[in-house]
Amino acid sequence: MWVFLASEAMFFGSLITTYMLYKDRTANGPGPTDIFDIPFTSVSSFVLLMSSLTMVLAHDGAVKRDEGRMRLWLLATAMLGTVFIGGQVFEFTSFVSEGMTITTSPFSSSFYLLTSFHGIHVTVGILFLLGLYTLSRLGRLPMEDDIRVDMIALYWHFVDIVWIVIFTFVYLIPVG
Amino acid sequence: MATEVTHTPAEQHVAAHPTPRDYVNIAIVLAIITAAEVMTYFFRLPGWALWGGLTGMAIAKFTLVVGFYMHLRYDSRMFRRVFLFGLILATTVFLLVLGVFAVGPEGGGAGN
Repeated sequence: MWVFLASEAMFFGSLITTYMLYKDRTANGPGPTDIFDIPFTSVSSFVLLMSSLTMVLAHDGAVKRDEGRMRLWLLATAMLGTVFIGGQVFEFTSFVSEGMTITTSPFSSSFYLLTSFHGIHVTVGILFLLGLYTLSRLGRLPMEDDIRVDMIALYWHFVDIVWIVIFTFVYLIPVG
Repeated sequence: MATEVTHTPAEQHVAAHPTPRDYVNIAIVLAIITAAEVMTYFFRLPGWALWGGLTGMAIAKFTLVVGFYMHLRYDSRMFRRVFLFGLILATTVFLLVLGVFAVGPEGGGAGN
């Protein structure tokens, strides 16, 4: 899992680099200062950050063999992840309505590419969480071995730390 | 007569990790740092302060999540090395590419 996460770090590193190179190439279209709604994105970031707390509580439940608590926090994490994705969809919709599509400029292309790939990772994480919940409900998640929950938790936290970097370098610094 | 208590690996694993209360405390710290990051949006800061402050806060959040939530602090050093290798490699490539473009014929990749 750690090797996979290291490769993911390379993947997102390349996407963030691409964005940093193209963030000023707006082709006379909207740029970061015109389009980003920092208060809204801050709330989304906070939601994703808190989902890391619920995920670690789910993992704690699994380690302590408390299946009910594990399920509760797994669902809470999936719900917070869904709220984050909903926020991203709303954000993208508002950007498109303001005239920033994926083909508008190198800035918009690199921005949508980076944030969409992150969104896809979050969506995959939500599916994993719901899968774990379903397995637990069906009695197919052995509680004496918490490795599956641990793996999904590591993946979920990684997605969170990628967003920590994106929020700072993609949203906050360009509009600061 | 005292009996010696032996712990299974799973029990030792549990004992080594922070408690739920610790996790909540870490979440509070993360929330405070995030609030401080957002405050920079409402105040005009010089470029160096903005870059330095936000980068420092991002590193602090990153370290807290990786160290405690991803329990890298409590795991085998090999995992730490693997993750750090990927991270350092990614950051090095990131900085090299940015540096090459910054001093290249395009001059920073800026412009429309």
